[in-house]
Amino acid sequence: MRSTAIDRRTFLAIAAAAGLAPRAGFAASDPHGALYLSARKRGPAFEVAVVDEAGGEQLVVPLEGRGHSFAIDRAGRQAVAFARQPGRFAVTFDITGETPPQVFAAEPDRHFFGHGTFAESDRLLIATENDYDGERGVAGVYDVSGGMRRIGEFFTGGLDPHEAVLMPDGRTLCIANGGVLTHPDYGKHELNLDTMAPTLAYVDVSTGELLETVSLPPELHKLAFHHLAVDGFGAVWFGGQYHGAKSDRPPVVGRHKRGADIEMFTGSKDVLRGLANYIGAVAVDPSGTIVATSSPVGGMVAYWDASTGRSLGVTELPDSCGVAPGADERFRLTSGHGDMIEAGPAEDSLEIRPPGDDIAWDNHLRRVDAG
Amino acid sequence: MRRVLIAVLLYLCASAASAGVPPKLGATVTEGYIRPSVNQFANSAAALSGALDRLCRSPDEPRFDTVRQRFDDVIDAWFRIFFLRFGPMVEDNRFERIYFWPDPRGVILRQVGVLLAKNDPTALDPGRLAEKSVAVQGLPALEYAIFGSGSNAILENTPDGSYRCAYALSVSIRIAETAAELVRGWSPESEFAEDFTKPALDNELYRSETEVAAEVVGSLAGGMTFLSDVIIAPFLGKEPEQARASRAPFWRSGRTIRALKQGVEGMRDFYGATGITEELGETDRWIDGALQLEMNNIDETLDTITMPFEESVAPGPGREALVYTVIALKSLHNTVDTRLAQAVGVAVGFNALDGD
Repeated sequence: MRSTAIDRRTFLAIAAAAGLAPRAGFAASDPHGALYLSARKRGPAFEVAVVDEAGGEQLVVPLEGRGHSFAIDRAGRQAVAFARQPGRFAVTFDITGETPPQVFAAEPDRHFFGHGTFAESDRLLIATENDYDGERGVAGVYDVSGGMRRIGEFFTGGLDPHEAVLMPDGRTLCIANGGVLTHPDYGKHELNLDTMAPTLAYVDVSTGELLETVSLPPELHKLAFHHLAVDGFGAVWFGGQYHGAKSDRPPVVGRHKRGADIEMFTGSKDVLRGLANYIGAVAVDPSGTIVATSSPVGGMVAYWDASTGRSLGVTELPDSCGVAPGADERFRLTSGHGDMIEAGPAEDSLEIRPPGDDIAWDNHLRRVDAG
Repeated sequence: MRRVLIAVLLYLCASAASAGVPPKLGATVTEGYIRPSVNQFANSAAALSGALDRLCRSPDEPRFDTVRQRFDDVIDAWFRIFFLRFGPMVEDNRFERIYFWPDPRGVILRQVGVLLAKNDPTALDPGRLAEKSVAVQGLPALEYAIFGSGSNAILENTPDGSYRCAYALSVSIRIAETAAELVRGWSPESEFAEDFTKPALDNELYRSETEVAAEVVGSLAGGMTFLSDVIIAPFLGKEPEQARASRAPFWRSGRTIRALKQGVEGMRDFYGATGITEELGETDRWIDGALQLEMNNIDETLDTITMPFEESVAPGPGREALVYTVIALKSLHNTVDTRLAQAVGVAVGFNALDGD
């Protein structure tokens, strides 16, 4: 493992928390149930929490800065937490907490965008990264058994690669290229608003070959693709973030099937307005037939019929962002105000655990089904 | 009894949430600050075009001097409105058309350089210039044409000099046209201004004064970050060795500090025009005091930077003043984004605040 200043800072944070026992659960936990991973802010501290279905905390991993999302292996044992854009740290941890977390950093001239995935039967880790001086999006390729050694990278087919998901064939990667040019010297300030060109790209993960890229018509060139999920039919659903005028009301939810054009869905006028030109996360329920898209800006989660694109209803939850599969046709939702609920197109919603402890759940919630 | 209690609590919550939002905020700030300031920008841009037209017809030093003065007026007026980055300003890339910034890749110099080298006639027609890259039709491009190396050719009767003057004129007309679009966008007849000044439940854009207040507070916070993170920090550098005056906007014309000062004063006056001060409750008054104090401190600190600009980024009192300005702007941003937003009832959630 390389030793860098970043590594040491995170190492110290982890060491300081090493004596911390898993926190008391809110209810008796089911060892066979699903677990949920999320980055969060607790008081002034940033960390990763692993909670069980009842909301009870199973593991807390401290982070040196704000985290974003995770790559999770197929067995549901190992996960990698990525720093939020334009952060440079990543933490590999054992979801059961049996082995201590390991830290690695982005290359000196790269930063993470906060997402990644395991690939090639968990032998590789792929992370979306910014080659900011070269002004191109890249996917960093890491050797998992070699201590997350970076062994290469490939072009993602655009700028601002954000979420990347492995398609059901296990070898094609779908990458959401937001199209926004940023440079860490300028934080997240957009440097190319006038010319931004988001794409969805499909890449053969074993060769890095760009298989297909698709984009929207020119009038939607400011709709950055950032978040993705694959439905039960093998179609990719994405959520966009609009960088144009607020008075525009573009569709922000779309679906793509390989070889076809992108289809956009709006729902009713109120649903479209409630999504406030901004989708923070996308998830598909366990049946694969319902898609959920969250908007923290609008304080709303909207549900979609995966086969028709029909709007199925909404859940209003202020600052809602994290969304992950729950029971069939249900989703687990979290908010920046500390809420964790289960909800879906059927109108009732269930509180899993109340807000408290000064916890703000961060952007993404991931479900892990222990193997 | 229980129901009554809940009703009372709800009432208290509702009144607490609206405390701090001035009634008719949108109309007040539009009439009191935005319209006059946008008009001022448009007038100054038109005056600059007129001065350039006279210079290009018959170049001489006094006319060139008038152009430089009119340019100052435009920069001043622009920095008093640059932070109004919503509504008319963000439609049709107007912000970028007027002020393509930041430009870490040096796009402006590269593209303007190509136009000047080729004497590209299509750039002399403002209508066709509008179709070109936003980098070649705004204030930084204009500054390069008037103040950049080779600009003295404007006074010589050479083809390059005439081209350069005609290009500057074309850019100034583009800026004046975009400014006129801003004026129309904020005029009482515009749909946007109607929404913003009369928020109502059936509006598409603003359904309450609270939503208007969120826009107002957000634009102030965004303006402060733009000055500190996007303008000053990159040219100042973390360490003195990383300082590069040439990464500053308007360093060629020596207007950088003056632009910053106008930006801060503009935000101070804009904030003053909102009437939020009068609406803050007893316990939130300190926020207003802190904001006023910090904005005045920045203004006075910028006044102390009187040395040549290149000198001000090197170790010494100028650099110290700029470092202070960055810190104070960040602190101001925090106060606006958290304290003021809470006091006005428009605090934004953890996830919504800084999207990703």
